[in-house]
Amino acid sequence: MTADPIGRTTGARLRRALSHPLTVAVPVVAGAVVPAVLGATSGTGDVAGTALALLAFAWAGLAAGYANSGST
Amino acid sequence: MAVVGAVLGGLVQALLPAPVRLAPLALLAGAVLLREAGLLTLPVPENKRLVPEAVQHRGRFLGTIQFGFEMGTGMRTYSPSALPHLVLLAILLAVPFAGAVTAGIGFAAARWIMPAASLGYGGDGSWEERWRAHRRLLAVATALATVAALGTGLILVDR
Repeated sequence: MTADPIGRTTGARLRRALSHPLTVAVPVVAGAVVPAVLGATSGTGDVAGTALALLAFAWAGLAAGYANSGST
Repeated sequence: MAVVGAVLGGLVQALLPAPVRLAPLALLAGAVLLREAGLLTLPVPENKRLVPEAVQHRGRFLGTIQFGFEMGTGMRTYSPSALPHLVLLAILLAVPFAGAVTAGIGFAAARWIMPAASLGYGGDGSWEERWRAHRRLLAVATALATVAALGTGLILVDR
């Protein structure tokens, strides 16, 4: 493990990079299009379509909750 | 909040025809997008108070539960974003009960992600500083994601 000038190890630097608000936002934001992409290829009224709809609503809640992360 | 909205939503959605429910929802979604982009001033209901320290002194179990409830439901906190309000309105006007439950689970997960990421970043308040430094970008990106996900969900449910 190498340490930077202020003593952080590679692992600590990696954890810090992965925890950055913008890094965390990438899957939160990009994941919102997944149900739409998968939904375009699923049949109408089938179980997969319903599951994708529920996933989409979950992602709406996730993105909305993450947007409120500025409040403590 | 999601469950209360879902129960009330069942009544509202049974009584009002779809166009009457979806038109104001679409209008508000557009307004919220403009607000998050900083192009429109739109006040949102918020309590503008911090959870008092005394709540944390009610014990490891009760104090934690009450703190989480007040923070998670927005009963006694600040709300920098209008997106939770938009999702709540969508639950009331259009989202089916099961969708309301999953939206609530997603919201709860996000409220857990924030302190987890903050601790991973150092737990010294610098995560919140970084958040504020990129506030507008994060607001616009999460607004687009929320509206896109809600729209996708409603289209998939309807077809």
